Amino acid sequence: MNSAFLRRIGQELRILGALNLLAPLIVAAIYLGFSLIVGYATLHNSGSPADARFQAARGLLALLENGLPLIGGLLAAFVVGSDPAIELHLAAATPYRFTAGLRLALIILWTTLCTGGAALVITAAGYWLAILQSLSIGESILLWLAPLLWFIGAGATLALLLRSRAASGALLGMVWIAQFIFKPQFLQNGVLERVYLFLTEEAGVPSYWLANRLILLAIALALLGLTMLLLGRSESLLGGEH
Amino acid sequence: MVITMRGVTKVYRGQARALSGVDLTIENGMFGLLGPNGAGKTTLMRILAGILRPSAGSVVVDGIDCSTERGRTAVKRMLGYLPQELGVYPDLNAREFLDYIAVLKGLNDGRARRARVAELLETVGLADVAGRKLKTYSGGMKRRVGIAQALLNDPRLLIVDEPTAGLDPEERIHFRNLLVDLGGERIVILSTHIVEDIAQTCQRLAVLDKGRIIFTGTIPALVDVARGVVWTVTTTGPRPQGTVIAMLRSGEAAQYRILSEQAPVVAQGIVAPAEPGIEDGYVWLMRDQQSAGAMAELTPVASA
Repeated sequence: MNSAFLRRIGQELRILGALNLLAPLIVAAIYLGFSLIVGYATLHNSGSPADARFQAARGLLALLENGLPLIGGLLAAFVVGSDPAIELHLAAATPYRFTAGLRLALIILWTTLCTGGAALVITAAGYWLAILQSLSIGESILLWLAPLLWFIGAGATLALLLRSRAASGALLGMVWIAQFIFKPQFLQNGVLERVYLFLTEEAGVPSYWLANRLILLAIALALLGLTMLLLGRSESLLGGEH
Repeated sequence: MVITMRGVTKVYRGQARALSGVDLTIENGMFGLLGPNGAGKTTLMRILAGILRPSAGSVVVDGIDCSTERGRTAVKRMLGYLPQELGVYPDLNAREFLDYIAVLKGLNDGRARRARVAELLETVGLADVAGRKLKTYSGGMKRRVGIAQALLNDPRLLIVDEPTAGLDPEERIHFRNLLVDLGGERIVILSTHIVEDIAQTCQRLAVLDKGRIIFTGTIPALVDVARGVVWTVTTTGPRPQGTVIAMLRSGEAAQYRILSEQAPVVAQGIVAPAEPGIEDGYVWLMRDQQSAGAMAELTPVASA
């Protein structure tokens, strides 16, 4: 990696802004806080340290499977949803698709580092759920990587189709909430269970768990591919909010 | 360097027609594009800048066919572009912003890039405040940043869309002089609805209305459009018939500058023919277009 490219990455990170980059860490801190509170409350009510530990571990699993993926999706929607200098980008020799792709790659890298780092810390602290001990290292990564990339791909695609950060963020939030509201419908249907985003948290590791993760990953890659296609539509990009 | 546009048409999704069969040839020097708001000027500028593709027709810039991605990229390498609405990154300062845009334009030599940024900050008078975040800049200062970014790659083709909007009179004069200086060995296309800006800077111009070119020629040729139809009327009576270009009231009396094919008739006052200016030519041209449009609407279409 040459110094010019590193400088470019530094510029893109400055444009993304410190607050956006801190968002995954803030979400992690919030989930950690709630997990500790739930653990403490369980200990207080049942007096069982094992129950308390289980409840706290479940909260931390939620951080990996639904907390950080959602923030990844929102960040992706923010990054590709609009750019105040879009017209300058479109008139420059460097294709906007490259710039937006680089920004999206930085979001993926950063949220992957945050989520992977959180998984390592949870494991090292002994809060990795017992039911997940059977997973290989690769499967343990798929546990959070599949929903993370799914949300990032969905956030970016929605932002480009709707040309609105607010609308795409709201839709992404609705998808997130729908996973909880329609949990029984998802888990009792042979097709829908394969695309249920919070499967591990809500159903553990059923027989179709790996298929579910791989299908989510495939959808995520398709959405990211669609994002790159949509980034080539100058006319549509100019029509977005500023 | 020559730009040739043939039959350029742009229809947006939703069937809004922004340009209809535009034919235009632009050579080195300052070229003005004049027209009312919504005439299609920005669409034309965006097509020339390679941002939008025409729905039909061809654009050739210095022998490069802009119908291909490769052609448009080649044109962008020689392009400086100032859009009508310049968006900036508010948390960057002017130096950082210009450095970033320079990288996008392919200025990869760090030392040369920094020197060019410093030079342009001096040119637009922002060197002293180059370290301040752009969110603290006034509209005029942001406009100057926009002008600086357009010049970063020493462009052979400079397209500026409403460049003097938001500038105070002194800044406008400074910027107009800068454009004239630049317009020697390159094409500078100035799009505006401010007639004065064109009059002070351009040798040739085109007037666009409702997506069509309704005039191309020199400034004197546009002035001649209104020859014989400009009158000054000084009267204490009611406003005379005709298109009022200017009005100056002095006590009971008022002096009007009127466009009218016939000498205005006033009960009390003086009517005298006047030398036309570019604004008179433009307004008369637009009036002709509106009359033609109204006539077309009134004329029944022959049915088979």
